[in-house]
Amino acid sequence: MKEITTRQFIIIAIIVMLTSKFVTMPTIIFAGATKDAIFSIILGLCIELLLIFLITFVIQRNQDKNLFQLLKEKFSIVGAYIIFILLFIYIFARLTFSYQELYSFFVKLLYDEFSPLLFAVPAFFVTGYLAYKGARTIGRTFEILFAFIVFGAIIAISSNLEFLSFDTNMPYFENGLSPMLAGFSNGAFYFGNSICLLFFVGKIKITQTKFVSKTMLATGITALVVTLFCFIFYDVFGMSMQYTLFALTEYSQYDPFILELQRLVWLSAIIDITKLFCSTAVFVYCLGQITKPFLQTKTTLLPIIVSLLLVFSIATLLNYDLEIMFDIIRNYASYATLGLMCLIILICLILCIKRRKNEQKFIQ
Amino acid sequence: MEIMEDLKKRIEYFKQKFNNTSDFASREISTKNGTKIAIIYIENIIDKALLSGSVILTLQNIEVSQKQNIYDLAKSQIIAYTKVSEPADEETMLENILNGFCAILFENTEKVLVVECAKWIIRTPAEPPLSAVVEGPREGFVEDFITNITLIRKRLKSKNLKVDQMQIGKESSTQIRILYLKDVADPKIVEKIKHKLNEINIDGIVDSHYITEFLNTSKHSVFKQVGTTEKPDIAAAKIMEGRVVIIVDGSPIVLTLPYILLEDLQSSNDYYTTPARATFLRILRLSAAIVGILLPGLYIALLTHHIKVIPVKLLITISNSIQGIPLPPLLEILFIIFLFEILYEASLRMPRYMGLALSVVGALILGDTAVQAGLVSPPAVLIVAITGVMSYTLPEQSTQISFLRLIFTIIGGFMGIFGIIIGVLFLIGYLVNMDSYGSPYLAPFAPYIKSDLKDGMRRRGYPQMTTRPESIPNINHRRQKSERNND
Repeated sequence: MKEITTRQFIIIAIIVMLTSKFVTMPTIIFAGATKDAIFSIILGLCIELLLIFLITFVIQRNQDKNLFQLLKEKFSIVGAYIIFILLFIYIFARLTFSYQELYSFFVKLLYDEFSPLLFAVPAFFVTGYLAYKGARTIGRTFEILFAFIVFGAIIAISSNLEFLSFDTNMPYFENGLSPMLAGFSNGAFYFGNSICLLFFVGKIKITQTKFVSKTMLATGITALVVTLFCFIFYDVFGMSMQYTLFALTEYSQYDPFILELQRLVWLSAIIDITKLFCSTAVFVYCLGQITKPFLQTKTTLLPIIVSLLLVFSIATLLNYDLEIMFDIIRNYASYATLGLMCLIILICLILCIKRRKNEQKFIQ
Repeated sequence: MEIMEDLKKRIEYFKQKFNNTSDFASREISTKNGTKIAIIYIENIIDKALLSGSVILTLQNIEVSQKQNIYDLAKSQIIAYTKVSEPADEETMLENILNGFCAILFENTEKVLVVECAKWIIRTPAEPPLSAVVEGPREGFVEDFITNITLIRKRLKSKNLKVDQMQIGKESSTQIRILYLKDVADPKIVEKIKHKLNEINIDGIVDSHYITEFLNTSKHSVFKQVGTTEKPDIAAAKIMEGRVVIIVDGSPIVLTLPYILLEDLQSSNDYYTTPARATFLRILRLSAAIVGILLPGLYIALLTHHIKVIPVKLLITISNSIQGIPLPPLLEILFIIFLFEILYEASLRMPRYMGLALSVVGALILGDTAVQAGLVSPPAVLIVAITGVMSYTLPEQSTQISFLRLIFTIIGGFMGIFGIIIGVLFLIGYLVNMDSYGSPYLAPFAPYIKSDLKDGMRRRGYPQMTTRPESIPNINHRRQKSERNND
């Protein structure tokens, strides 16, 4: 069933791509790459753009089947289940991290103290509700919020422009390429966000021509925005970066004008939280789609409830502690994500090539 | 149809059919040849002048020759004055009598004629109280459905304007009329609406609002799902967009379907002023509605949970004002909202002259005294008053705005900004999911429909509005030749 329009898909791709990139990603990458962090980000974004390109290509070529049906057709049912298990592990970790990030961001920015349970119940309910209502509701909700999200990004980028010196991190590549690669391997986890776009296969009403190029243009601009934000952020903070945890929050505290008033960046941060919530809903939706074939249900209600209960249990066990998650990301999750991204790229290539061969056979 | 030969017995039979009601009346007359005729009707709903001057007099003057038939002769002569028909069965005849017809029974024949003689009390079309315009038509609908159809037909002299009839209510037998343009409205939507109306099985309908709840697609939603208007120009414009209009006898409020939220942002005034002014007013209305919903909640959230965001000077002013107030901010705001709603409700129900006095007393004396007594703070009164006024910029959504304001106030008080973000996300997610007969509730914003934005937040000029809204299902998209062709 075609649930979303091309425009809605592009907005979902932009929001998913932006997830965490203004919040915790700059710090974690800086920890590995130090002065060359911006190049780690550029490398990561290039790989993410390649992933998005292949996924949109698969979407355009396979409009009549959903992801599971497609994988089952190409890799047999066992292959499809194996791929879904791998995807489940990544999305599950991503979702758990998203909730922890949201909670920590809230506590850091908005409250002195906030009960995890008081956070979890409404947050899980709303993201679960959006995911349960499906791609159509997610797409339309994002469409409404998109203007605010763009507004937030503009504030985030422009508020510290006057402090740009351009030479804080110069010279680059003092120690060769290894710091850049170390930074990239630290933060590869964040560049796998777009994997979840795979779950929109067969759900998009592609009415516009140049679907792939339009998606690539939009996500390319998003990559530029992220690069610009991180460049300003690294330039303004310099080596003091390693003491910051949440880019946007710390960012606002540096600005003397904002220190006095703070409201503008507050607004931007609130918009960023809304954006985080939106992308979290997409992750919940994906998790529901993954668990659906395993639980053999017709609706996604049960898969979503089961998935959210699992995420809730793990997040509660970890006490919503972001430091533990940072360690997991740095030591394991980023490498695993990198591997998964390579696998997805391979799968997408196979899906495109096989489809093309079939089409040629049909023409002959 | 069992009609007894003897006229008196037949009159008695019909009187019993109406349970011997006291306003059942009968007249027995004779033609010039002496043929006996009886006329039965309900006394209070009949135009007596028409009955005596046209029907009875005509019947009395009939002279039947051998070749002629009294029944056919009466029918051909009365038809010159009013509508005459032959009822298909007894049930139809009884229904007709209840709708202001008189039935004519003839001696020695089972045939019956029904003659329209209804005289209902009809109000003259006047300017409706809630839809007053500075410029533009001032006519409003009345309680009579025939007058209402006339008012629409006056504006849409089209052979494609179809009026389908229906009757709902076992006891009230309320006349319902469904109006649409046959070559514009989507037949599937028309059928769906008719099907919904046909499914209604109720004892009586006394106003159009009775059937709105049957037409709602989301049963438990607090949001309005059926459009209403009390102006024929608006109804005609909506029919031209491909909507279906439902007229209920006895109600000056006409229903329109499908309904989208944007309709309430648009006012008839917008179409009788310049596009720039209309655009400005729409942005103003939307901003007022958003502020009206969120302001008390944000105020409470900031004051209770995020005090560091409030500018220092404003914070000093607020803290000076709230010093010594016995209630916590949330209860204080809830108390004032409660007072505001009571004053509103009381002023609606009071006689008009007293209501005016009450609103003055409420606003000036009660508010001032409460502040003076130190029960509530001036900022809290100001915020509730401002948001109260703002909610009436969209009068048709004021109930929903009040409800949401209360919800967001409570959420803001308990959970701060986090709660408000969650609430807004849920609200948007809920609204985008609603659908009214094929029209997405938040169209043309979600889903984004570019062509419909010509009459969205921004109103463009009539020459640019070349197509009908895509968000309203229709089978004829083009409205006028494109601007280029017009040139």
